[in-house]
Amino acid sequence: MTEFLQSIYVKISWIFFVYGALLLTVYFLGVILSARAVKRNKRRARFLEVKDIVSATDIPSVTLVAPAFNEGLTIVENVKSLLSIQYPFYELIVVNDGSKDNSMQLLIEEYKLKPIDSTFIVQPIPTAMVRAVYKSTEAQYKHLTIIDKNNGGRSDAINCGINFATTELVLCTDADCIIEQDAILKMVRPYLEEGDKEIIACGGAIGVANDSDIREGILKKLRVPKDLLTTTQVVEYIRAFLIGRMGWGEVNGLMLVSGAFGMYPRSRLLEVGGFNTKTVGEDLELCIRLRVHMEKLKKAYKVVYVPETLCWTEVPHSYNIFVKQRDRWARGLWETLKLHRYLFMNPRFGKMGMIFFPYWCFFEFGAPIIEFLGIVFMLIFGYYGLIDWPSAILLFTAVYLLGCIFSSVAVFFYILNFRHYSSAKEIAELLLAAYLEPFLFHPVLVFGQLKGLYKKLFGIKSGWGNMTRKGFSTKPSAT
Amino acid sequence: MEEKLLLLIQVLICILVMVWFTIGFSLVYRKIRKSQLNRIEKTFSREIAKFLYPPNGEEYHYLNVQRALQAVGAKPSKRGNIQYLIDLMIRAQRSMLGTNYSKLRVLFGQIPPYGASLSKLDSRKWYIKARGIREIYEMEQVQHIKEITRERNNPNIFVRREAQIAMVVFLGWESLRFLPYLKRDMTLWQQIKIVEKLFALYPDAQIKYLKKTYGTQRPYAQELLMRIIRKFNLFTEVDYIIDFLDHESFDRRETAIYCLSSFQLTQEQLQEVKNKFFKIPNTEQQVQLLQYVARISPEPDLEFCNQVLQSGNDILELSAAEVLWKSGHEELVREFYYSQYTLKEVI
Amino acid sequence: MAKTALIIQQDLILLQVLERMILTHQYRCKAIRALDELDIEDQDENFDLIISDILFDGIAPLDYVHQLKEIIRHKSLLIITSMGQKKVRQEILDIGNVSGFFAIPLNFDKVEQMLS
Repeated sequence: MTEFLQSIYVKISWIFFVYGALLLTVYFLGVILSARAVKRNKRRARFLEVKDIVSATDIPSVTLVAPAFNEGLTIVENVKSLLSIQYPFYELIVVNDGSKDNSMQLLIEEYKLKPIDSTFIVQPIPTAMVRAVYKSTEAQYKHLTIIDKNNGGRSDAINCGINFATTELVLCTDADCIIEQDAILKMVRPYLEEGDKEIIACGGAIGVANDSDIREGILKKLRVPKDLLTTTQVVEYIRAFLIGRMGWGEVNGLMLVSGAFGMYPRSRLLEVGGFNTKTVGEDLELCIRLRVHMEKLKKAYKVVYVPETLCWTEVPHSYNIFVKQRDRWARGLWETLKLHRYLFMNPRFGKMGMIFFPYWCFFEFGAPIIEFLGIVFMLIFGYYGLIDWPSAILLFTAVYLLGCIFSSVAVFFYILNFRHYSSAKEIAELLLAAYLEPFLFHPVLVFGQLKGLYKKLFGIKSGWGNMTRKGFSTKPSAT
Repeated sequence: MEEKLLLLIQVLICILVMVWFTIGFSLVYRKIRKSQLNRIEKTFSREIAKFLYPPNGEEYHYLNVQRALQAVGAKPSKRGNIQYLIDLMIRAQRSMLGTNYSKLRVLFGQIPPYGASLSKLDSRKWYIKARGIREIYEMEQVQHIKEITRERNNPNIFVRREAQIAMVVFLGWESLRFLPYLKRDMTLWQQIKIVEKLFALYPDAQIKYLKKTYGTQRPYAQELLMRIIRKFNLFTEVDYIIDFLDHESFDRRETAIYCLSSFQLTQEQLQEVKNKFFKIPNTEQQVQLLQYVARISPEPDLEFCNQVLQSGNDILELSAAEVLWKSGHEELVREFYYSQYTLKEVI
Repeated sequence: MAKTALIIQQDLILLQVLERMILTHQYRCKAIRALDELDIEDQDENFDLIISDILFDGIAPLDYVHQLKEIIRHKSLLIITSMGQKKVRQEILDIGNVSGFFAIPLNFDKVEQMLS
């Protein structure tokens, strides 16, 4: 019996070891590729500065589509902030997705809105019914369109905005996100420098703005959040965007452009039918569908990523809401991978089928499962006395230190290239959160993911859920 | 096994400590550097302002400017500061026209950036070479045109872009002899910059150079020519744009529709556009074109709108119906939709 | 009594040059880089001239021009901006209350002509 268990233990240990080694290799490659990409991007940016773009003609026109649902408390300010984005050929469409509060009334009063004749509404992508389309009677708000429609969910609302847009590019975000003033100027760069590969999606980094100083919808002073959970998410986002996305972008392996901030050519969005309304992982699903579409058309394409934090959002501040969020992300991942399972190891789809999609299956989807199984096996084999505990602890320490190094390097890249978090105290707080992450954050993350997978496995219905937000604290400025 | 793991842990701790030190050093260095650069910028701005608008109306000698800049660290021994100074000089020149621009040219010729720009052309690093080319054409050092022209087909896109822009800056319309025949494609930004520079520096169009390039089959060149026609408002050359409305390439059609939208057309040209309308394989582009035709026509062409209504495409139908409705032909729209209903009832 | 001018430009070079130019035309001049630097006294002042950009954090260009007439009293407003496309120019002029619109690169001679 013991011999049998011993042989099982050895085999399973090898499986975990190989999995861990592969994952570390991917992270290591990610660090190298992202370092190269960030450096190159910085050098390239000197040849296409925002002040050159802001004064240019013939640049692509952009519509920012922001769905809103029950945002009555902040909607007026949010819209004002979104209108202030600096770009010469820019339109803003806010889609009121059947809000039950007084959002519409507030908007109508503040922006002097009047319904326009929408008899001949053209809807290439079917959406929930549009009740009315509003434009302002004031000249200073001529770039604003508000669409009032029946509730259909976030994806449905964005699709509605895409229908109404008349510009070449569409930028999708949420009404409560804070967008940097020069965000569009920077996001448009890849399209201006597009060579033989068409850019089908462009993402930007998303930052955490909890507990920061926000005034009139502008991030005035970025601060490290006050609690550990939120601070750890700051590090997580830095790692994910700067190392993960940048690294994958270098090999054209980006499969996800964040739904909170992604820019797409409108024509391609219409061709693929916009966002999928039946999944909670609509951003990942859209990106994969766009890639598949281009593969089928046999056209060269790229999904790119701008390594600058151009969008600021509020992340969950309590463990309860955090778990709900990760639960939803896990379900979205399951749904998307299931929907596109034909890609798995399918040579017809090139590297996407043979490398990128399998990576997502094994390492993004599989990681919480492997971790859970790892704990289970450790308990079983520990009970039978098969584990060499001193070596196990040393191995754990080594892996932990590797993780600390990755996080520290990510933080270093971030502060090296961007102006956020410039004081020693802030850096120390971020590093401390990163070093405590495996103990206080990661287990909760895995729990949330497993919860989501459990729901999908046993058919337990669940939607977006309610993310209660503290809201950004806003103070009026002196003027 | 344990010994190996212990060794590994020691190595990892060393690496972690090195990363901490690097972070700390980087924070301190950036603070110091930022204040240095701010000082240079403030001094430069102040001195330039004094030079252009001297206090008490007296001439402000260039040596004062030079001394003030050297006092804040813009000297040959500090290459980083010299580079920053060059960037400021370019920034200043690019924000001014007229008398001030000429004065600055004189000033910058007298406080040269110590021969830094030409030496960059020999660099093997693309970003240094490209920057050198940019500095040369921004400072109008036309004597280096030969060295720059050699780089117009450089494998690196930034180097060749700067070289191509330099050719436009120095040669003007004559650069159209070369630009449509480059080995590699031009990006949208390259086209934008070339058109802008051409317009800013050579606003009088020399159509003969344009006409000579119409035969080019290079996609980027065709788009570039369309943009030039639009920017210079060359209404005599609109037919070149109209030819691309039904091109097989989506991008060419897109550029054509965009460039055409600045023009008013003759009756013949308008008819040509309407003929091409039904050959466009993309509905969104057809809608754009339809809206353009409606905008520039004092009265809607009822026959054309009717053809679009009958096209069988819902989106085109609605767009045509909207054009007719807004121009006061509600009856036609109602008739069309009633006939649709009757047809459906029969079916 | 000397005329008063307020210059609001983010670009330091442009700000300093404009300020010196205005001073040579016998104006009392305040030059700032951002709206945050306005103080209470400025809002009581009735400036003869404001030279301003339209690109500021937190406020749309059109909204800024519209609101400026209510926030800071002035007799004449000149816009000098890098976002100087024809379309933008037309939109700004349509708001009204703008005496002149100049795109960067700026011909200072034309601005001086307007001043005199």
